[in-house]
Amino acid sequence: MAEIVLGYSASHAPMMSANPESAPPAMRQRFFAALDQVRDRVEASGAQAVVLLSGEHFTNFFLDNLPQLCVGVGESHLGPVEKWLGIPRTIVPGHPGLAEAILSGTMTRGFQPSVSSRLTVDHGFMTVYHALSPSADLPLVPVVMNCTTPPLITLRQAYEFGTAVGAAIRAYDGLDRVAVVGAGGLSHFVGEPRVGDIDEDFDLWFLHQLELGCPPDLLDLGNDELALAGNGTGEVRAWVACAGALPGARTTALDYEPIGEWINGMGVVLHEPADRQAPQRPDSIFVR
Amino acid sequence: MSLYQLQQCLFDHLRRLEEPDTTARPDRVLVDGYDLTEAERTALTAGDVAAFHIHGVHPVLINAFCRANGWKRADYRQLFPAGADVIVGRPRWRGFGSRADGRLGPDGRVHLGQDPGRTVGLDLQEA
Repeated sequence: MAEIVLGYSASHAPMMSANPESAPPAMRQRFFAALDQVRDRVEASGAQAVVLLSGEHFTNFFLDNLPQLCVGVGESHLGPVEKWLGIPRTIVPGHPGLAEAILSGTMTRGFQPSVSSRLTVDHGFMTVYHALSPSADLPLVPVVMNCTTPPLITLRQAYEFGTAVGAAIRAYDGLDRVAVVGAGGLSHFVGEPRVGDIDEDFDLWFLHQLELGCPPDLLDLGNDELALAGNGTGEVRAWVACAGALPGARTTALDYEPIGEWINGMGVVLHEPADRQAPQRPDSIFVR
Repeated sequence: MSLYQLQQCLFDHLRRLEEPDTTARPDRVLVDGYDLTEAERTALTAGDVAAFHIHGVHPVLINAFCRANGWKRADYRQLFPAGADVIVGRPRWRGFGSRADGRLGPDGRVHLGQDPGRTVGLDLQEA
């Protein structure tokens, strides 16, 4: 049976790879240092594949047929689609066996994700995946989530979906070690009058809620209220799903940077399963 | 109104721009073949972001169109209708912590203190 060796979530603003130098040096250095930290932990864990959850940006689907959830079962995935992203377009290896286990495992646990054998991975996946596997050789199972087009799943549903994903991974006997990653958020407003705003209060509150283990105050948050933090902020569903895949893990907010130049609240949060915890807890952004 | 057709046209335009050897220009939207009103056709040919917003185009499509044209946020935020960016409602996280209140420091650390904002439900009556 596969072990989930580590989980983490990170923001996926396109500017982090398209124009990273535009951010204030101290902020971008802290953010990329946090990404380096989680990459090192994944490498040290010996993860054989990564399951990466991210929001849909009308890259694979459109309004004619828009699934709430989709698992990419292909042997490979092409990405990124964006020429300007600063990441070479490449073929990323998939892992059909693990993907099909997640697809069927979440079905038996009450969810109905759609299936795709030919997913394209855009900046939502590739910014975070590239930071994790620059040589693009770590097998990737992409899970697409609808995070911007109502009706939307609630945070509680996202958490429960993540729990089902985690259980499906643990029931899979084709691999020994798997990492789970959420990508998207934190707060951002796009294509609308508040474009560029960042809701720092939300971002810090959300990260704190993750450290608290996703209490009801977070999971029972209504979609209307969540939308007040930004029309792109709903991508935190991927973070909540990632947390759901690692119940009981030690969660640490490693970094938060409200980078206006990237029009995004940028953050990294780490989930360490009980038997994979570092001897010393990583430094949290929260100081008491 | 033909909002779906308007959005389909923008979506197809953005897809063309992704093709490896495309000669399509990001500011030149092809509108032939779509069932559009005159106002929608005008908005598309002019790349009128405010009109897209008013017509109800999905913000992810508007964002992608602006990005494809190399417009930064400062370039196009001003194109939206005046006053459309008003904040409505007071969510539970308001006052939790930020650079403005000093809880988020320049070193990236967050000092929550004893009273990190309220965490009760949304009060839309405050809007």
